[in-house]
Amino acid sequence: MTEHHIRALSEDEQQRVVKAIEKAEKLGYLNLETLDQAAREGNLDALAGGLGLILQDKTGMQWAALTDGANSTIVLTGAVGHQHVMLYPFDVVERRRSHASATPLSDYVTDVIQQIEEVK
Amino acid sequence: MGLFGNLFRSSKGAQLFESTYLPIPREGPDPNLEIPGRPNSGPLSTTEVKVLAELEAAARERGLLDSIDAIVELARATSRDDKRMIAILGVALGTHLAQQTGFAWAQFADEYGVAAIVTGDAGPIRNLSIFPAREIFIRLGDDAPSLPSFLKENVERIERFRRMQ
Repeated sequence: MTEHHIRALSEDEQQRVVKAIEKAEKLGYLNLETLDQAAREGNLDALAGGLGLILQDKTGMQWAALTDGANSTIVLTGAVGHQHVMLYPFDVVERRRSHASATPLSDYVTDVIQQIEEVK
Repeated sequence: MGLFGNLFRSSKGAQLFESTYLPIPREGPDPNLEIPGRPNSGPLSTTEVKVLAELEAAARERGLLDSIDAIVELARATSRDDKRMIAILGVALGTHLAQQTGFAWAQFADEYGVAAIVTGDAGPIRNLSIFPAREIFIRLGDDAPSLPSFLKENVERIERFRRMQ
């Protein structure tokens, strides 16, 4: 069994999040309508930054890294009720790029909020 | 160890430059550090507070806390092997950053040692961490004049991020 840990962002990971947020701000990826429009061909990190900001605004979650010791991925994490919830903005935007049939990002956000409400 | 040994000893993201760690030996194995490259930050220990206070006094003596220009001048003339001066300059730069942003000193430990970081709330990034000694190290010599814009850009970024939330 592989054990996963949540840890603080490394310097490189922090830099990636900072740049993603700045790109999202610059490109105006700060609302769901723009995000959905840009999901097909917009800059992936900027989309992840924008999606992350929207999720943070709605859930109060924080950026961190999830690691199994060998590999890590950037996540948004926070406590919901007694559970620890993790969201993967960078992976979510990438998956939607590679699967043509994927649902819009706005649907993803609606789903997340709904699931969080249920856990609460 | 040559310059490139210092810079490229590891390609792991969390690796800092050797000369930017505080001169503090790690006290025994830290169970949190069993996973290579796993960043681990937290409040300063008593030893680290003392080391920082001593470095800050040395920075003040050299006028480095009065203006960033004094830091530029000294960084221009400091060699990459001068660990103590890099630490003094790092503390000076970090103090300027902390004063202008309300950030605080903390420690960052990885498998190579302990570094002093300046960290605080930057809107969407609750714990934005800056490694002042590392920023000094990569700007020694001819790149020293870029330090004021580094400071300005970071202060402005933190203010901008805070306005987002």
